[in-house]
Amino acid sequence: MNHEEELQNQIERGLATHDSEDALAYQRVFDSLKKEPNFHVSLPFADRLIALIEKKEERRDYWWMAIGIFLSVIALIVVLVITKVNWTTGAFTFISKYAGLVAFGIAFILMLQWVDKKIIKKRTEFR
Amino acid sequence: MIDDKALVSQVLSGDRQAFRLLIKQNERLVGHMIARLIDRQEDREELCQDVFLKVYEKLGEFTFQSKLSTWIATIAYRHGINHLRKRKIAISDFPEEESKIERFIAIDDASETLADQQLDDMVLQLIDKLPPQYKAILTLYHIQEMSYPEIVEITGLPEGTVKNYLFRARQLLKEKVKKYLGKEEVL
Repeated sequence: MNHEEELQNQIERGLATHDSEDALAYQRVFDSLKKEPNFHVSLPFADRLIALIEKKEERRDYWWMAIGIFLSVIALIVVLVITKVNWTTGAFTFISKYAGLVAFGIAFILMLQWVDKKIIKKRTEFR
Repeated sequence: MIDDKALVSQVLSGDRQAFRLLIKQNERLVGHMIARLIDRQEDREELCQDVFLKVYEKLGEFTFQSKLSTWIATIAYRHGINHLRKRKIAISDFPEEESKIERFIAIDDASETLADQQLDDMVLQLIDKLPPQYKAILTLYHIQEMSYPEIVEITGLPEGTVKNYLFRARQLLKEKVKKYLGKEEVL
């Protein structure tokens, strides 16, 4: 171990005698090195970050929903084409009689999903 | 204080308050690392934000092989270094030429007197002029009081290099401070 290394070790362990210019200079350097950089994140940093994460997750959820709807429509079309469905038989005749009710049912289910996502889930996230 | 495992498990289960706590516990560590590596004030907060976003995304991959703070410091360090690389700023050692080191030691006019506080400020400014890896190691060792194995894990540098950079950084700073010693103003 050379003189400089030895001096640094002594200063670090508080054993230096400060009898030389080098020792005094090292002491000043070690004292300054303990000082924190003059930077702090802003006060609402954590809040802004969490809001950003929530926004990202919400956007991701919408993407998944869009992909899900798209794939469902594709699957439905494929099934209809493969089965060569006859629109004038069975359940289809029944549905055509109550088209308004069926449309309301679908809209109601979608609205429930939206309320669940917007209000209920948000409340349980902030425990 | 909540331990790392419990905190991580709460964050992974979607507890936002737990993540808020994780940010609060580590924002100084991340802030210091980014502030030492990045000069531009306007980039610092955004980079800190990116670091915590990455922490949130990757938390499920954390294996508890090290302390959570060490893992977060690793992400902060790599993020800072990548940012510097994008800006084409040299990140490692001083260039081999001795002239660069000599210039570092002898920039200013040492005949002027400095108050104690000014000398401290000067040392902090000098730290900013060191290569980024030197600054990161000084911060982790002196402010965060991390051990050599932890610094090795964070920086990915061999232990010998970490010790060498620490030694050289302190020596360079000492040479500079020596020029001003005895010239401080008596207030």
